[in-house]
Amino acid sequence: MTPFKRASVLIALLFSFSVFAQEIPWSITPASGPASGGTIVTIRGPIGSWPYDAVFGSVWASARLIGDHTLEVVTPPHPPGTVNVRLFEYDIWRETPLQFTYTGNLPEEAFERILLPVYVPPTFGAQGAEFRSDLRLAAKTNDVTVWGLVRDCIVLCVEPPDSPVTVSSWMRPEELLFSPNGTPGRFIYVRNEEAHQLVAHLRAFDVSREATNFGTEIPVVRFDSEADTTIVLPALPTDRRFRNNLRVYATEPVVVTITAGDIQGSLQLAAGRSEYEPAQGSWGNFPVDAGLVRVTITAPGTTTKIWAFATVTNNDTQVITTVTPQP
Amino acid sequence: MLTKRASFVAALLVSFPLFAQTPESIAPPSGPTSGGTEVTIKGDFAEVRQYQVLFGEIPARSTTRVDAQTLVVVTPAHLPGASQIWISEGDVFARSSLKFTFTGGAPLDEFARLLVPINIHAVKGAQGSEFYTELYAIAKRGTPGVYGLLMECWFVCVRNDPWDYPERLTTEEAKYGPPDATPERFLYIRRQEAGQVSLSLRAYDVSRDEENYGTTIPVVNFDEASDTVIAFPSVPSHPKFRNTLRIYSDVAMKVTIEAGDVQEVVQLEPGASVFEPAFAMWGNFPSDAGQIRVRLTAEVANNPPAYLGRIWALLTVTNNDTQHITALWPQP
Repeated sequence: MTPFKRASVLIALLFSFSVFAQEIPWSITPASGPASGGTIVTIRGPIGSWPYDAVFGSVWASARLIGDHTLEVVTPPHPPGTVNVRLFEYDIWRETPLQFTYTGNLPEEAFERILLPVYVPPTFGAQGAEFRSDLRLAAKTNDVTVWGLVRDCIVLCVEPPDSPVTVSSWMRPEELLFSPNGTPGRFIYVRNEEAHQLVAHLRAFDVSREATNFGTEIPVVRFDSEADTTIVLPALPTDRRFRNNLRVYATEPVVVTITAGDIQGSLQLAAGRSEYEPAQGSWGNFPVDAGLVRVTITAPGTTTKIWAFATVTNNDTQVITTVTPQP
Repeated sequence: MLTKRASFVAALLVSFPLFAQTPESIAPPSGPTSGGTEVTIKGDFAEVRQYQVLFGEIPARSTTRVDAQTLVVVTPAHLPGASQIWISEGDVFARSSLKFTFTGGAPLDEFARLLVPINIHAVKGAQGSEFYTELYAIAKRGTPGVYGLLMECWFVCVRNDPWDYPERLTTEEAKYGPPDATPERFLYIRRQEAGQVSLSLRAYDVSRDEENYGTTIPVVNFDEASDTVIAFPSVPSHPKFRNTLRIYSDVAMKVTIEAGDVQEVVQLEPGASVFEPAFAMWGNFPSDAGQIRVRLTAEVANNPPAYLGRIWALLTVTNNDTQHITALWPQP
């Protein structure tokens, strides 16, 4: 190629880039829609004729080329908030300056709601106890995106609290830790199609007695399938050696009725501040020295489903046993 | 009192002729557990009445009186085994001399399957420990029936066939003992009653009853909780603890275990009935490797590729000094 031809090609290339940059600015219309998805958006910009996918936050949607530099995309369901929009062009990522705002409530039909019943920063108890909870998440084989958590970060935390975290199967156990970032009970969300991939491990333990046991596994609950209008815990001890505590969770701040042996009480669940915080309450007015008692929890006058579990803690050793609804 | 006794005996004698007269035969005598077999029962059905037939405790899908000697019945879904036929000519069912044998696997479209992972009695361990489990069951509402749940009995056990007669739960909890079978056990509940049951299973060391209330063991809705891959993100590998992995499936299969740097294949041995899961126990964990990840993968058939079955697993971490058990299970 002669120097003249080379210069011509270079000029043509530079000219063509400037055409894209100046004449085809990025745009997305509309720039907001319901969290349930289904909004048809038009994306314009320096778009070629490759096959494209669009990614809203971290949720993929297939895009359709409908004209020069123009894609049409149906938004996927997503928790409410503003997300970045990226394109996947055949086999490479294309960053864009575009954002889309999801409005309304979290689309429950598209997400699995998972309850972390007790997930707290260090808490000091009797007999020198210092209780901690340790949450680890992983994926069985494919990556899973989880909304509602912050990865454990001691020094520099770069993830904004509202962004999802992605967990993989290849992470080392120490990379799978997450930090408490809200009320003790917490809802997290996973897209339905990824829910079976998620693996969780939530353990409460007393640091001062780590040499004597590995702590107590706390159930991580698929809330919508495991909650019920009535919860029954068949045989709870009322021996003075133990102190019992009942924790109750719901999606709405209902009043629940609790029957424990001969004692009947009610408990107003405190409302959560967002979809990541369940309505919750705790109750400890158990009878004393009444042998094994049955505990029944209901939410009269409502169809709201509840979930509950009890902890039985030995007053001397501070060892916790959980009693949970089964199966 | 004598009059009452006489009345009772008379009532029995009246009911027996019913068995002698009807029915006389059943054809075919067997069919699949999924139900739907059209069965002809021959006997004395001279009275024109609304006849009803039960297989154990499960009503036939339909019962039709064809003539004075013939009922045609469509079988319900039922657990495998020989089922007692009961016939009513009105409100009262009478036990017949006939049986119908259901063949095949458990009909999971109509029955939920629960796994009781460990049910043991007086297992002695290290440091003077003696482990027991305690299983309570109660009805949240109604009187749901649980097949395979066995009442505690230590001297004389008169039990109905567990595949034919469920244990009916009430709103008073009852304690169910370790079965006189394998420690791990499948239970079955008809799906329309599955949400009515609450169970509680606890393992404890009687020698350390003063120190803690033991460890809750999950009772699992097996077909919802099981998968072809099971993972535990963080398991301690430390000389303070001994780890034991229990693996369960509905079919005998090979399972690949990855625990830190260790990889092994174990064979799950088949259960003897639908109440016994295929099972294997494994404890060859690396020692002193810190926190490790454990992953189990069910065997996959090659030509054509197909999953052979699903697995569930329970991992216990026991402190060697205190014998305190922490149970880890696949979550959520």
